[in-house]
Amino acid sequence: MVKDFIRPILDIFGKSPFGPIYEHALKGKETVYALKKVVDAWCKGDMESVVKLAEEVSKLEHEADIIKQKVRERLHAAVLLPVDRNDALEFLKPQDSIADSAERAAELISIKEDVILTETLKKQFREMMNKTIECIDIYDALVSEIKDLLDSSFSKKVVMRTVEIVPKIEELEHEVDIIELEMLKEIYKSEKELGATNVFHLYHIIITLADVSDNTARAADRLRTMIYRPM
Amino acid sequence: MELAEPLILFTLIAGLYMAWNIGANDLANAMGTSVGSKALTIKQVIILAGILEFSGAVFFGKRVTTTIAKGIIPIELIDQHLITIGALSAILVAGVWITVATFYKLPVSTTHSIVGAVLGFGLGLVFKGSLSLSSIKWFVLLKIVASWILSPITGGISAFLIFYLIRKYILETAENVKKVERIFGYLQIASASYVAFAHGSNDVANAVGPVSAALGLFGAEIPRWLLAIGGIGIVIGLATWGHRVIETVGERITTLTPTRGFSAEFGTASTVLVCSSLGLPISTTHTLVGAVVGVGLAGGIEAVDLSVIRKIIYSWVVTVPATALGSLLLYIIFEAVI
Repeated sequence: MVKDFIRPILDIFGKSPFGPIYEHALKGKETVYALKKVVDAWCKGDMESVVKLAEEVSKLEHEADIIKQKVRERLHAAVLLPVDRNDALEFLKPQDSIADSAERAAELISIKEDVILTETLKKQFREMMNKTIECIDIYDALVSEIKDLLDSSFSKKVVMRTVEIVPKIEELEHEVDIIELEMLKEIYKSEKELGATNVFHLYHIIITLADVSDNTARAADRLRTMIYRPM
Repeated sequence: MELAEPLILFTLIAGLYMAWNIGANDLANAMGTSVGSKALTIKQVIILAGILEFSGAVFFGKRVTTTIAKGIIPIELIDQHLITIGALSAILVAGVWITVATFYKLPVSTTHSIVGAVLGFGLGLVFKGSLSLSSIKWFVLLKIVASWILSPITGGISAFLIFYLIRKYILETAENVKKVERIFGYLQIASASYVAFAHGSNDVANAVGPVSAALGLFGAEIPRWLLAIGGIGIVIGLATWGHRVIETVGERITTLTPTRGFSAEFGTASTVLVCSSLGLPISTTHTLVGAVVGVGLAGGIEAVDLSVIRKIIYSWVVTVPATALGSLLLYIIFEAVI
């Protein structure tokens, strides 16, 4: 009733996309944490849990998609933001891929029951997963700076403080790459023990797991592009 | 000048309805921008805005009221009876248009409505042969329309500059942004008061301009008591209905922090006050919208929805012909029957 008699001129205030952007980042982080549980169960050989936990990852990825839709809606063509709208859209894509690749990795792990894992590989998988978690934790810290950036209207100090976080993520991503390469060498070295099918299967899992931190670093880079401006 | 005459009484009542509407919606919308900071409660905002709106109307409202009353139509050339029914038609049509348009969520302006309606009355006079088409002060009308386009732009530019300076010299160097915002929460009390004062000085005319014409005051100055009646009407609107509007607006604009709100309000009020001193009736709300866009362009607001601008342009392009036509027709009917 009241709303019927309010002239909607102040509709000029759009809905901010930044709240849901952070929410989306957190959901991505949750998905990666859920993936870690999958990898842990897998290394213990508990396939029953793997299947269940992989479903959980899938559910979280779906929730991330719903938040992404909300962000997209708020980044409509008529919105004026303190950052470039295209930069924001270009940033959203890799951030969404974090959950996507985590889901893909969990799926791949869950589809083959009789996988053979050497002790070295188990150790490497855990190591890779821990690095990925470290990476996503710092990413969370990076994205949570958006609030301060908005509050200070992108003051130089806060922009610099934020931008400085990005290389830490890139460093961790690089470390994951090194582990990835070692793991690939390891599966080819153990080809006789593993068999061709397992090599093929593990190859894809390793590549996809590495994608998680890859996408995280890409999103961090895109965030830097979005907020950085010469002053 | 016979207050007891039914026609004049009707015009006065219609004028009070306009005033009520202006207070309930326009003023409340503008005040809604300052409750987000929580420096003032809604009750305090209403009291403060009421006092300043009233002062603006009484002490600064004369020029715009004169423009509405006799700046567009040379009423000194017309028989007083015709002026009274014309003023009544204009104010009734403007009031009804605003109520209907508000219901249909059109972001209309009371100023545009009343100017269109006054023009319609003039055209009615022309239609009935009481006035020549060239006697309508088209140049004044042109200036008014130009001010409608310029005022949101000026509001936008000034708000942009104010926020740019705040950003560069305060936010950029501040150790604690939250503290800055807290201080600006208090400064916003001043800028909100400034908006209310400027609003009163410009918008009271929408309610009392036609009334003063109906009263036959074309020779004299617009009397203070009439402006005071308009001011009281606006304040009543704010007090009886405005608080709900303020609340609704306040909930929606959580992203307008005090530094941003201050910039938008200061830019708006300065623009409106300059227009008031030039006797130009403009829309405070449209100026405020321009100011918000200005702050947005300076990187101050998380999301500004520019699609509203198209709606605003659309509704003002519709408002002037609609109220002009309505008031023209009503005038012809009234002239035949009263």
